[in-house]
Order: sequence, then C-alpha cells, then structure tokens
Amino acid sequence: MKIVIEGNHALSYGAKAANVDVVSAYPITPQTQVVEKLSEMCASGELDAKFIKVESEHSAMAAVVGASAAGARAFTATSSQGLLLMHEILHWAVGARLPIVLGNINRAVGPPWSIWTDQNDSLSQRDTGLLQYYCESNQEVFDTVLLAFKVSETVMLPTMIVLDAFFLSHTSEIVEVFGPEEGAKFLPPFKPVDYLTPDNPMAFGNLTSPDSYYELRYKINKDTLRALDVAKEADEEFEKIYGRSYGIIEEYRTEGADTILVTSGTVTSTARAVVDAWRDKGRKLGLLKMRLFRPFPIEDVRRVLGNRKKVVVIDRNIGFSIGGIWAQEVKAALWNMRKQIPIFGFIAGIGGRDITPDVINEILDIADRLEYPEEEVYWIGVKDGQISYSRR
Amino acid sequence: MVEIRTHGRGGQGAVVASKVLAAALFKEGRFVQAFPAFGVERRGAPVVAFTRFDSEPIRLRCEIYEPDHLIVLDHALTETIDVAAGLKKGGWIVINSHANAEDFSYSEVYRLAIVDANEIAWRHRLGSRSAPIVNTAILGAFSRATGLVGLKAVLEAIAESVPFNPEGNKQAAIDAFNETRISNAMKA
Amino acid sequence: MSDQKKTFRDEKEMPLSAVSATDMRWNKTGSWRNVKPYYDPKTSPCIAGCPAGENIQGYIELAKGERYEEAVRLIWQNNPFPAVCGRVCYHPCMDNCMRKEFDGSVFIPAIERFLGDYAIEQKLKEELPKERFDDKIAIVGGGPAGLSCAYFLAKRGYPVTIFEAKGNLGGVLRYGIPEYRLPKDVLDAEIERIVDLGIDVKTNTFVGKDITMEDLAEYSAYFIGVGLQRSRRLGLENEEANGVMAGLEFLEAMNSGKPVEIGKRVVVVGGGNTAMDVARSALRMGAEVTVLYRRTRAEMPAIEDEVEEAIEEGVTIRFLATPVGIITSNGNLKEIKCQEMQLGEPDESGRRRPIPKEGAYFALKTDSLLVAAGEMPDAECFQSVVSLNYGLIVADEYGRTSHEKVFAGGDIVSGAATVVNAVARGRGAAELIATEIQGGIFNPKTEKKVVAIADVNTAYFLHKRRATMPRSEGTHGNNRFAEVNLGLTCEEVQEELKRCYSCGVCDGCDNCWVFCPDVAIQREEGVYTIDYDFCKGCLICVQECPRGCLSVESEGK
Repeated sequence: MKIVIEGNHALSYGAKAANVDVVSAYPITPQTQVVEKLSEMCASGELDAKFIKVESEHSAMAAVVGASAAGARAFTATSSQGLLLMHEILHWAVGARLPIVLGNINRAVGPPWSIWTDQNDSLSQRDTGLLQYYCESNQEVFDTVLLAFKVSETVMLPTMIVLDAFFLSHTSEIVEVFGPEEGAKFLPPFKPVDYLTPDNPMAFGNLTSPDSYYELRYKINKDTLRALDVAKEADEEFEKIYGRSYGIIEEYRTEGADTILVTSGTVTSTARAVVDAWRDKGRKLGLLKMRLFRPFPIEDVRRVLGNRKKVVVIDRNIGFSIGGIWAQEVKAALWNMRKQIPIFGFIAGIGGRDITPDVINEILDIADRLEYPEEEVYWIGVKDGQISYSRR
Repeated sequence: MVEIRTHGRGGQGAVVASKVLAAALFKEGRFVQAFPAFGVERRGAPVVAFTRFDSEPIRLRCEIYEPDHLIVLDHALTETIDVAAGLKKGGWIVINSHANAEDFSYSEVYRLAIVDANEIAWRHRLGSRSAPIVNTAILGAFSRATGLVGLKAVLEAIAESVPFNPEGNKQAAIDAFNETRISNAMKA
Repeated sequence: MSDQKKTFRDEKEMPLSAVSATDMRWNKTGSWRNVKPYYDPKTSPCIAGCPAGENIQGYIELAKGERYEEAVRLIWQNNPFPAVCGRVCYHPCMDNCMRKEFDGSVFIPAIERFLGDYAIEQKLKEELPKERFDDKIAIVGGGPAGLSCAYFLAKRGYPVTIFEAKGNLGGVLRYGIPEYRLPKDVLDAEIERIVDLGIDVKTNTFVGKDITMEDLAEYSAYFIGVGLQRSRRLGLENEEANGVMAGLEFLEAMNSGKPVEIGKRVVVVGGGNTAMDVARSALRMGAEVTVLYRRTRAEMPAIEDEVEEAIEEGVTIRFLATPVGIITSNGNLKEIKCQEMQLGEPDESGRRRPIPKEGAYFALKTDSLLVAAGEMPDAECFQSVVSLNYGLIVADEYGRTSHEKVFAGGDIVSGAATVVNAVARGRGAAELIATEIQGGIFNPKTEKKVVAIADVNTAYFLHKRRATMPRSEGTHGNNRFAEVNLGLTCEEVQEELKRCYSCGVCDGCDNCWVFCPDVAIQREEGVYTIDYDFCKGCLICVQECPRGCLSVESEGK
C-alpha cells in the first residue's frame, strides 16, 4: 500500500513490518514522531509489541538490551544528545552481540543548541561497533528497517539506521508500506542461540579475562566484515521479494567518469540532479552514494574510485582539524592501492545549512579547477560578506 | 516539477496544508514531497512549508527558493515578509484576505487569487474566532485558482489527514473553492 | 550446567559474547577460607541490662507488627508489672541501648508502659497453669518482691498464700510511690491480674503477731520479701519536735489518704527516689521545698528523670549540705542548722565521700523537715530461722538463705534497691523454690552472649528523634496529684518502635544474603544458612549484618 508519510513514520512502519516485540524510546526533537507512532501502534494493538516507557535514552537503550538478551526483537530510536547519552550502552549491545535496530535522526550536537541536521552524532559512534546505514528517502528508511534486522540477526550485531533531521525525518513523500505478514516473507522470527530465561539461568557480559576477551573482540571484527556479504545477500533477497534494492553502496552514472562525487544521506538526491546537469553538459561526472558506513565497504569503494582522476567527498560533519569523516574513511580505504588519487574534502550543510544544487555546483567547480587539492578541507559557504550560497 | 511555497503563522496549519496538498496530488498520480521550513514552531510566528510534485520521482532535497506558486495563509504576513521572493513569473499567489485585488501591489507578472478563509473557517467552527484554522479552506482556493489539483482529491486528502471535524474542513474547502475571487489574469 | 570448568582452545569454539557456558559450582571457593562466619544470635544489650531479663528486643519486634497481646505476654514471662515498671523503673536497659550515643536510646519504658496499659485496657488475663501441685508456699510481704515470687510460683501451679502486714497489697508501690508517678488504678489492675491466678491473700497480717514462725514452718517453703520499713533517723537533737517527720511516713499517709499537715516552708533531707517523691508531693501541697543533699548531683542515687522533673517543677536542691542541728521553739521546729560539705576520696560505694567544710554553716528557717535519708530493715523476727547481717537477711541472688525452706529477696536482702530488682529476685526465688520442691538440680542459665558495639554496623542506623513523653499541666492546679507522664499514643509508640535495631537478633533484613559475593548464603523461609563449599571467608556478611548476628571463628581448629 502506498501512502504519503514522513521519514519518522517510515521508521515506525518499518518497525511494524519487522514485527518487533519490544520498543523502548525516549522522545527528542526531531525523532519524536517515531515514538509517537509506535506508542499509538502498541496501544491500539496494531502492533503486538511491548512499549517500555523510560526516563532517558540511556535507559531506553538499556531496556532494549535487556529485551534483546531475553530473545525479543527490539527497536529504539533517538537523535543527537540522546544518542550520545546512549553511548555506553551502544558498546554494551555490540559486546553482548544483541541484534537491536536503532533509528537515529541526524541532528547537530550542542552547544549551541541546534535541532537541525548534521552527521556528527552518528559518525561519532564510529567505534562502538554498531553497523550503520545512511538513508536517502523515506522508502529506503522503511525498507532498511527490515534489512537491518536481517543483517543484525545474521551476524548478531546491532544496527543504526540514520536519516537526516527534517530533510527526511519531517518530509512527507510516497512510501510503499506493508505489515508484519508481508514482512515475514523476508524476515523470519528471531531465534537467538543464547537468551535470558528463568528456565535456563545464565549470565551475560560476565567478567572475561585476557584469556578470552581478545578472541571475543576478534570475533566481533570477523562478523562485522562478514556483514558486508550478508548485507549484499539480504539486499538481493529483498529485491526478489519486494522488487526494490539499494546495495551497500550505489553508483550513479559512474560509467566513464573521471570525477566521482561521494555523498551520503539526503544530499545524494540533490546531487543526482546536479550530476545529470553536468552530464548533460558533457562532463564526465559520476556519483557514489555511501549507504553502509560500518562495516566500511572498502573493496567496493576501491572498485568504484580506484581508477578515477578525482574524488570529491561532501561531508555534512566535521572531524576537527582533519576534515570530514567520510573523506577520511575514503582516503584510508584508497591509500594501500598506492595510486595517489586526488581526494577533495568539502564540508557543507553542518547544523542544517541547506545544501542546494548551487552549493554542489560550487564544490564541483572548485574541484574541476584544480588538479590536486590545495587545502586538506574546504568549508563551503562560510559567510564572508558575500550573499550566502543557499540564497543565490 | 512544480514547487509551491506556503506561508502562514504557527497555528494556522501551514505545515498540514503542505502535507494535505501533497496527499491530494499523490491521489492524482503525482510524485510528491512536502516538508516544513524546519524551525521551532510557535503559535503566531511566521512559518513556511514546501510542496513539490512531478510526474517523475523528485530528487531535490533542499528548500524552495524559486517557487512556481505561493499560498499565503495570512495577508498581514505580506507587510513583514517578502512572501513573493523568488516567485517565478506567472506564478499564482493564493492569499487569505478580505481585501480586494487592488489593495495588493504585487508585480503584474503574478496572478492573484483571494479568499476570505478566516470567515469561511469560522463559519465551520474551525479553530477560534481569534485564531481560525484556515489551511483546508485555502486548499479549496488553490484548487480553484490553479487547477493543479482537483477539488475531489483535496476533499479525499482532507478526509484522511484531518482527524478533527473532517466534514467541516471539507465544507470549508468547498466554500473556498466557490468563493475564491480570481483577479485579472496576468497582465503581462 | 555442569560442575566442570569449560576451557576453549579455538575462537570458533567460543560463544559470540561473554555468556555463562556453565555455572560456577566447579569453583569451590570454600577452600580459600581461613576464617569462618557462622550465624550466632546474641542477646541484645537492653536485655542484658534489664535486671528482670525482659526480652525487650522480642516484645519490640512483636509490637512492631502490632501484635501487642503477644508482646505483653512475652514481658509477663519475666515481669508481671509492665504498666508499673514502664512508669517507675530506672530503665538501665536504656543505658545499654546501642542508640544511646547515636541519637538517644530507644524509649523502652514508654513502650513497656504502652503494652502494660494495653493489657489493662483489654482486660487480658493470665493463662492458668496446666499442672497443679500440692506443695503450699507462703510469701511474707506483698510488695514487688513477694508479689513477683507469688506470681511465678502460681503460674507454675503452686498454691500460694501471701501474708501482708498492711491493709492492701503493693508494698512500696502502693505506700511509697506517689499517685502522680504511679496511679493506684494501674497498680490495682496489675495486682488483680496476679491475684486472679488463685493466690490466697491475707492482709493486715503481721508475722510475729498475727501468725507465728511455727505457722510458716508448716508450708513447704516460704519467701520473705518484707522490704525496708523503717526510716533512717538523722540522729540529731530535737528530731522528735513538731514539724519533723520521716519521709516514708509522710508518703504513706499521702498514699493512704490520711490527713497530713506540713508547713509553708519544707526542707527535705536526702538524695534518693524517696527524697524526690517527698519533695514533689510536698510541692503539690503548696509548699516551698528545699532538698538538702550532702553530695553533688552526679552522686544522687535518685533516677535522673526524677531529679530533672523535680527541678523543673520548682524544687530547690542544695547540694553539698547536710543538717547538723534542729532548732525549736516551744517544741516546734523553727530552723535547721546546716553544714556545708565538700567531696573527698571515694568511699566503698565508689562515690566521693562528703566531708564537712570547716566552719561553713548556714541556717534554714523552715516549718517542716521531712527526712528521707534512707530506710532500714526490720527483720528481727526472722532472726530465729535465717542469718542476718546488719539487719538484712543473708541470701544469694536466687534467694537461698541459711535455711533450706526459707527464701528471701528484694530490699530486705539487697538493702535499698529498685522495684525491678525486687521483681527479678522474686522470680529467681520462685524458680529456685520450684526446683527444690521438685527435687531437681537448680541450674539457671546465666551465660549470655551480649552484642558489643563493635558487632553492630551503625552505618545502617538512620537518625530518628526519640519520642518525647507528654506531661500533665503542673503541680498547682486541680489535677496536681494526677499522673505527670501521660504516655505515648499508639502512633507515637509505632514510630519509636522503628528506632529499635534488634541488636543481635536476626530480623530477616537479607543483607548477608544480598552481599555475599559467592552466593554462598541461602535463604529458605526466612532462615539463612551458609554453604561452606563456597563461603570463602571474606566476612562481608559479618561486616554488613547491621545487628551483629554473625560471629567468626578460625578455620582448622
């Protein structure tokens, strides 16, 4: 059934289609509608799940950790400061190998207070071990909830689904949704090997000596890498059943391209239009959409970018002093290819600043003009007395 | 692709108007997108919402700076904000007002549709006398003026999206459709 | 689950995350132990401090659960006079209370009084003995010692007869303690309950006059608890003058409702409870009262509270002063010559001896002199059967005298002591008498393991103010002879009960069970046991027991 819904509700409907058993979340702008919808669904019986009210995100995450440890399919959602408050329990969920799915609405971190989008909240969780999907449309959000549970429950690691504040969370568009019966075609019931039950008491997360901890981390890394294949296979299976697929990355008009623009999140959509315009002008420009951040798809990135003349990365985030986080990851992925491809790193749209086609054109113009980047990172649109780019 | 920008005040229902308009266009087979100009919504504060529709999937995910048409839920806004900024030539300005076309000094390259949505909303007891909720009425006027969306689709979208007093809201849209005053079409 | 430790050689064998693959029973941490905790219930210090050995902790626990009847019956097992002792006892229990230095001792007498009054209000009766014996026992003296002895013998099923010289039972409780401290209806109620056990009472029966020693010899045994009947005299000239009176005589007259006259200005001599009772009674008759005491307040034998209340009511106490001369005019008291004193070396009682301050005299004009400088025995009539020493009967703490069938206790043995001492001695003698009659071996359980302050974990104590006893209006109104201390309400008692820490007696708080890091403590139906296979002797249970119910012993003995 096709309906017009906002991105937040796409998460809620996705959780319903995944037939989750437990939802626990604490409301925060711009995530609130996710929780509202799910609590309504739980209250009305539309979704046969337990909604656990909590007093903070730390507790929300702890509640879904408990639920997942007890063998329940568990979902939560948050944003920004809320995600940061969850941080400790995110590590726990990974170490305990609990396949929780978490929706995070990208919102800039305060202070100063901001409710608008950027990626520093989710990207700063890089080394927790959460798998991370970045979405471009509401349909993709809905579908990714099912995909995330599939991947998580296969490799036994939690997944974070990331969407931009307002540009996706509050944008209404057409989404094909379905209920748990249809979802079950793709997502079988969750049956962990070990789970908490009074019938068979056991302890989770015990003190582990150096004798074993090392191997347990090794296994997390191994399964994180395995998630790349699992995600691809899940995507293919999803396409067979529902006719939609996203891959773990997406190439857009990369054939014969000298320059590849690398984007994530909603900027990708606008960038598609820009790429079309440049192609129409005969320019050899292509687009790489980064969908998986963790595990980082090194091989795919090398395959797409390894033989180009230039790579241009747009980051709606900042790693202070070193540049955008996606740019760093791309650089790291390409380094051992020993090809010295020029990688241009651009910062744009932080704190919800609009990224219009003009902004992307400006970025491409700079990269086009130079053979090699003269600066490690370019901040686009910093006010310098000129008319702001977004208003041009 | 057609881009519509809606100006209103917190409490008038501008954001919902943009969504209902998108839902109505969706019923007519369009690809749609609707979203607010993201901010902290406060009763009485100026708010902006956007609607895009197309026969192709919509790719742009940024705000609308050069809209094809405008919806203005409060004519007093025109005194403080340049609501017509970036409006494309030939665009419609659908405005809630009891004034006449001559009272507005918009460039003659625009087309003006005026409806007294306050009066219509209050007629159907939508909102209060001091703060009528005019979003559904203005959509009737938009349908009548632009012809971009049919009244039938608007009424269906209202029925699905408005939880409180859907009949009153639908009737408001119908009344507005009938009572909209179309100014002289573009002189230019 | 198995008792085998699981080891992994390959990461592929390992679970995904740290989950318990087996339980920890393979790890018998008990082998690490070099000291061993064990449950060792102890006697609460309040109980140890009570001469009557009342199970104070026990009745408080029952009262906490509003099981008042069970609580008062538990008191009766040691003391038939809770309503009396709750009012007049000097409460050494409170001196021992663990809260004393923390935020003030638990107000035990107020609780005891509440329970005693509850029994009176509810008209609770004694359970009659299941066994009956034929051996008749006589009790000489119907004061607290005699009544206690009679009570415990009657409860065991012995036929008991009390011979009381005065018109009513009670002894010092009736004739020595004023109404404002111990209302007669309270005393009557407790005595009635005791007598209702079937005790034969012969009042106005003076041994040596109304019955003979030969008459007593016909009983299987008899107990002497006649108390101290004679007031000590000052030994001064003019002590027979009008206006000079023995304190006991004054109190007896007041308590019997006989007319008694005193003047406007009254001097009382003495520092004991009798002196305080005399002074406060005189005050209630409208007199200005001055007490002369030859030492300081610290040496006063009177109950601290009584001294406090006397001073609050307006009694003047002149410390370090003693009368040395009585000046009369026409046979009437006019003035008392007093000697100022100072404290010297400690005497045999441990108190510093008062010695006269040379040349320091003063005179007090007064209308009445009430002498409460101590009481003396009057037991010559028993001289033919038991040994006396300075007029007191020689007996051990269970009342055994030089005669196998004669027992004695209370003040006539101890000298001037307390009500609770008399009750305790009466009960001890009853136990001894019953055992002797049955031909058994008397083996009183005297060993008590008392909780020490170091055993109690005061970190678990929460500060909570002690209840205050409401008082009547004062000493001059229409109700000036009515009871001063009005007692606590049920709600106040419940709040006060919560302050009790149940020292040495497990109240099932679960601390040991919760804290044990090796899950070596099991709890079943409120009973805790230690599994020594796993107890590693860390003693956290001992440390964390708030009330010192666990003890420690070394391993490998």
